[in-house]
Amino acid sequence: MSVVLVAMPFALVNIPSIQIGTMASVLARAGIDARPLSLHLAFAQHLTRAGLDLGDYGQLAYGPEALVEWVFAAPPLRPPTPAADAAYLARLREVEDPALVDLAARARAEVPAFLDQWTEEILARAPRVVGFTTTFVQTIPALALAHRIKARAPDVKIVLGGGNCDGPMGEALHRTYPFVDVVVRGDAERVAPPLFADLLAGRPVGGYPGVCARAGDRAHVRPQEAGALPAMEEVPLPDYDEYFARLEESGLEDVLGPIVEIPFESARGCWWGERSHCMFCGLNGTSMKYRSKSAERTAGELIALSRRHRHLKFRAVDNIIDLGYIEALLPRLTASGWDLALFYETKANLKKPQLRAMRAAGLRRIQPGLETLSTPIARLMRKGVTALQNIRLLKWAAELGIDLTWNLIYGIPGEPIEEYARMAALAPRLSHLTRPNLCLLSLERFSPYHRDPEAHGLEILGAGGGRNPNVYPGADEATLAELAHTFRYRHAAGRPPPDSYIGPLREAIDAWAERRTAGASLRHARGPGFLVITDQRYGARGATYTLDEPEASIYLACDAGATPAQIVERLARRDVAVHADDVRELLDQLAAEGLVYEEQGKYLALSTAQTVRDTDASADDDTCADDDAAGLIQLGARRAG
Amino acid sequence: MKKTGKLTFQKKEFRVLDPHQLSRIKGGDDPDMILKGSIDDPLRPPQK
Repeated sequence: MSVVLVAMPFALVNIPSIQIGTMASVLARAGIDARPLSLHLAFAQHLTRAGLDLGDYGQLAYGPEALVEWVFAAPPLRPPTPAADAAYLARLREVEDPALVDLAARARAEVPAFLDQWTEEILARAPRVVGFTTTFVQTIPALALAHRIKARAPDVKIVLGGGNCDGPMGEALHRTYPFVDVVVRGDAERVAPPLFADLLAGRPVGGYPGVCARAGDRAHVRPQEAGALPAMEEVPLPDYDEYFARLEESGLEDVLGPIVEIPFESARGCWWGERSHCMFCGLNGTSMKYRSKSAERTAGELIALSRRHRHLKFRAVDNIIDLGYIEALLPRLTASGWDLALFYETKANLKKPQLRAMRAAGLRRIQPGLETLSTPIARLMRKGVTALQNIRLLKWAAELGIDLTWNLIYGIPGEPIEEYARMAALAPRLSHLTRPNLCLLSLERFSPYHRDPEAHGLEILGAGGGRNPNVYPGADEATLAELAHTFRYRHAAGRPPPDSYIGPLREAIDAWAERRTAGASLRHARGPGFLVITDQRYGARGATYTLDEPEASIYLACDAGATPAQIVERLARRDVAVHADDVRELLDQLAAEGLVYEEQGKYLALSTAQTVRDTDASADDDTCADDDAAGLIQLGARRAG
Repeated sequence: MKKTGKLTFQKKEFRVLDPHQLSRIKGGDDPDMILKGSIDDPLRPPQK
């Protein structure tokens, strides 16, 4: 065998690795025999044999990097240091769930046998090159296995790639760990075929963009080049056969089978980030430029993967959906008649017809970039959305049966503290919608905050995540900072720590979660000449609100958010005359009842429709268009300022 | 059509009942209710 491509723990075990699957196809296309190896799945299997279960693996996969990567920071990569480990775990127990720390220690005890087993199994395949993908918490697991392979078979070339190798991180990995022969930084589709051909032929590695290689004792680091980014049409269909075969043989299929999600990739970069880089976001590394596959190509790949693996659940790894897909891709999927279930990350200012098209095509789960319920804070983040738009998306998703997950990020530099009391007061009114995960700002490499921390009142204290001497051996503070993707930081002096003022919001979100679980709802139903809104958001006491005409039409005209003047105009088209002051007075009363959200003179109805209709006159695009314009004006003003 | 005067709405509060309470009131398919109806229902004529 020529090349083995390895995905290490703690990649999610119900998802095949798109990184090694894609690279296997890239190399196969170039005539190079490369076999993927899903060792994340193999390690989960290994743990179950040791008395742990898949839930334990999942907990670790979602655990803090400082703990999770430590699991694989085992000898000989990191010399045995029982006293230091005990002290490290004691410190972690003070800030993390002690049960999770104990679980990590137990999993770690299984690591040496796992590494021994897979060193032998990989070498039994007689590879010339072993490649590892490194994303999130895979770096130390990859280094641990690579170190053993190199120690046993020095002629085998070790190649690292993936998200954790981008930019200076890759160069630091290459410099610090000499058993790593080559690090590929950035997109690898173009450089991999000639690079692997060089390695297989035993030639010196050519000067490929972004590649760190060695010639004798000397390291050669070629800069990453924007022009080297592959077009998405160059990215082939991933090869997942090995994952599914391993799953079938693992004895874990009865649990994992129903929750397997096939990752697919239709775009890289971020079209919004090209216009306005969200201040906290480091997701796109060195390549923000947005590139997407044609709708025809994406539809064809989804159907090909579905047919090959007899599977319908898919997860886009894109950072943001190509809005062109709503007209070009989704109708193809809808017309196919197949019950695909898709996940995509989206921007938050989607319009109702766009969401309808998504639902019809099987796009049942989304992760929109909401991040806050405060317009001033959204502006600081450069999200290009308002709180009203965010709430509207939550409402429409609930109405249309689209599940979503979203984060509410706090600790944004310069955020108005009083906005947290406002959000805490707002939260109960949204109990019928999906609650957020409350997250402290993570300072990520490649984000504008990281690029210029001082300008935003941030002071970087050092490497974050798992980049510390207890996990990464042989790296001093400066090197750890180069290896890091996230950083420890503090806000400028004089500013209260964020955790000191978000207590009421945290409590409100906890209560939100409880009410939502208990079935909180706020629905409206249309009758002949009237509208009934049934409010069951607050537990034992509910209320019905009955609106006759034209009040019912006024309320429904607020589906997308509208000003009184817009409502007057809309009703006038139906020969219904109302006065803007009367409309405002009515909507202010409804806002006081928590049925309407008001922001800057615009009113948004909060209830979901009892019956979802294909054509909904209340969801006129004109008010949405106003929102978009407002968002851009805000951005323009900020840029100009 | 022209509406004059203040725009209004009507509000009525209600108690949110759990399914068991609701079934007891509506006489639905709650197993306890069916059992009671078949044995203890005072309106049911005694079986001969």
